Amino acid sequence: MIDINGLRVIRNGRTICSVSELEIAPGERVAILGPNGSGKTTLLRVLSGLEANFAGRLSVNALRKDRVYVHQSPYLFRGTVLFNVTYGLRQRGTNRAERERMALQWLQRLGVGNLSRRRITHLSGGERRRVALAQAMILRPRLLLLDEPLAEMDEQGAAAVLAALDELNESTILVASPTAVLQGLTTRDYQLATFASGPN
Amino acid sequence: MDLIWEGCQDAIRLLLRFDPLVLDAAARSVWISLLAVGLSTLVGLPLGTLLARISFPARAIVVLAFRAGMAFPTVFVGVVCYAVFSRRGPLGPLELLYTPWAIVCGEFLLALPLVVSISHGAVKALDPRVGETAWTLGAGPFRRWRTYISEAYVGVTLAVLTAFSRCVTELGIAMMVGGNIKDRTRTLATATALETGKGEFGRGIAMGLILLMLAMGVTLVIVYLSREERHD
Repeated sequence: MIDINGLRVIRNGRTICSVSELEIAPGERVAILGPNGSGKTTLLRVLSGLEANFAGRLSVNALRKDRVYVHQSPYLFRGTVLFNVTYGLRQRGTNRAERERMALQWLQRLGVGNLSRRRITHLSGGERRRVALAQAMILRPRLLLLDEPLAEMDEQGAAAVLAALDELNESTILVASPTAVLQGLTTRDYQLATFASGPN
Repeated sequence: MDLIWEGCQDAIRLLLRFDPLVLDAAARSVWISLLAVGLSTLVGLPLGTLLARISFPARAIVVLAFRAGMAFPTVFVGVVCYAVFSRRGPLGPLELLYTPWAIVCGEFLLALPLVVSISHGAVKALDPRVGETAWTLGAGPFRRWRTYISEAYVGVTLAVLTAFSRCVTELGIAMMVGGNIKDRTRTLATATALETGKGEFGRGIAMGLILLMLAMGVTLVIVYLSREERHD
C-alpha cells in the first residue's frame, strides 16, 4: 500500500521530516510516533498529497480521492454538523437522502448523533474532532491519515472513535501521535527518528 | 437656514406624494447599479478568489492595480467611458453613449476593483485548512471555489454591498456617459444636481434623501455583518 525509501522534507535548509524506510501493507493500522517537531504531521501531509515538495522515493497505492487526511486541529465549514459530514459525499454525487442517512449513521457510531442539526460554532473541541472524523470516515477511504485523533477527547469519545474505526476494516490507517496511542487503535508502531534540526 | 428647512418640508411632501420624477430617477438608479454590481460580482468574485489562491509572477502587480482602482474618481471613469463610447471611440458604432447601458458599463468598471480587492482580501485571510480540508475530501476546483466564497461570505457580501453603495451614489459616470436625459438616463445623483441647479431645492433634497437612505441602509447591513463576523 505504502512504500517509502529515503524520504526527506527540507524547508528553509532544515530537514523537518526524514523516513529512511517504511512499508505498510493494505489494511494495516500504524501509529507514527515521535516527539513534537519530529515530522509526524509532515509525513501524513506528504502521504495525503498535500505536500508535494520532498526528496526520496514514495509510492502510495491509492488515488487522491481515496486518501483522506484529518488535521491535528480539524477545520469545519460554516454551517451545520450534517452539512460538514456530507461534504465529501456531495462531491461524489451521492443523493441527499442517502447522504443524510449515512451521516447520521456515522455520527451515531461516533457518539454525536444528537448533534446533526447543530451549528459547528456551538460544538466543544472533542465534538468538533468527532465530527471531523465522521466527515472523513463516511468516505471509507483506502488510506485514512489521522493527526492526533484522540486529542481533547474524553474516554467515552475515544472508545466511540475506536469502535467506529473498526467499521473501516478495509482501510489502511495511519495515526500520528507524540506517545503510544490507545490499545486497539493501531496494530504496529513506527518511531520517527529525532534528527538534528540544524542546517543540512 | 430657512432654505434648508423649506427644502426639507418640500422633500417630505414629494416623497409622501410618490412624486413620479423622484421615483423614476430612484428606480433607474437602483436597476442600473444592481445590474452593474451583479456583472462585476460575476467577474470579480472568481477573479478575486483566483488572485488569492493561485500564484503567478505578476500577481502582486495585478492586486496592486485593482487596489488602486478602488480609488478611481468617478469622473475619470466617466471620461474613459465617454472616449470609448463616443462616435469616434472604439465602441462608438454600438451607439451606447447617452443610454443607461453606458452607465452600466461605467459603473461596472467602478465596482469591479472594489469587488475584486475586497473579495481577494477576504479569501486570502481564510485559514489555509479551508482549502486543504476541501481538497482532501475530494472537492474539485469549482466546489473548492464555492467553499472559499461560502467561508468568506462576510467579506464577500461586504464587497458587493460596498460596490453597490458606490455605484448608486456616483455622479460622474452618469453625467458623462448618461447625459442626464429625462426618462432615459436620469439617475438620483444627476437629478439631484439638476434640480438643485434649477432652484428646485425641495426635489433636490428629496432625491438626496433617497440616496442617503440607500447609502445608510447598505452601511447598516455592512455594520451588522461586521459585528456578526466578530461574534463568529
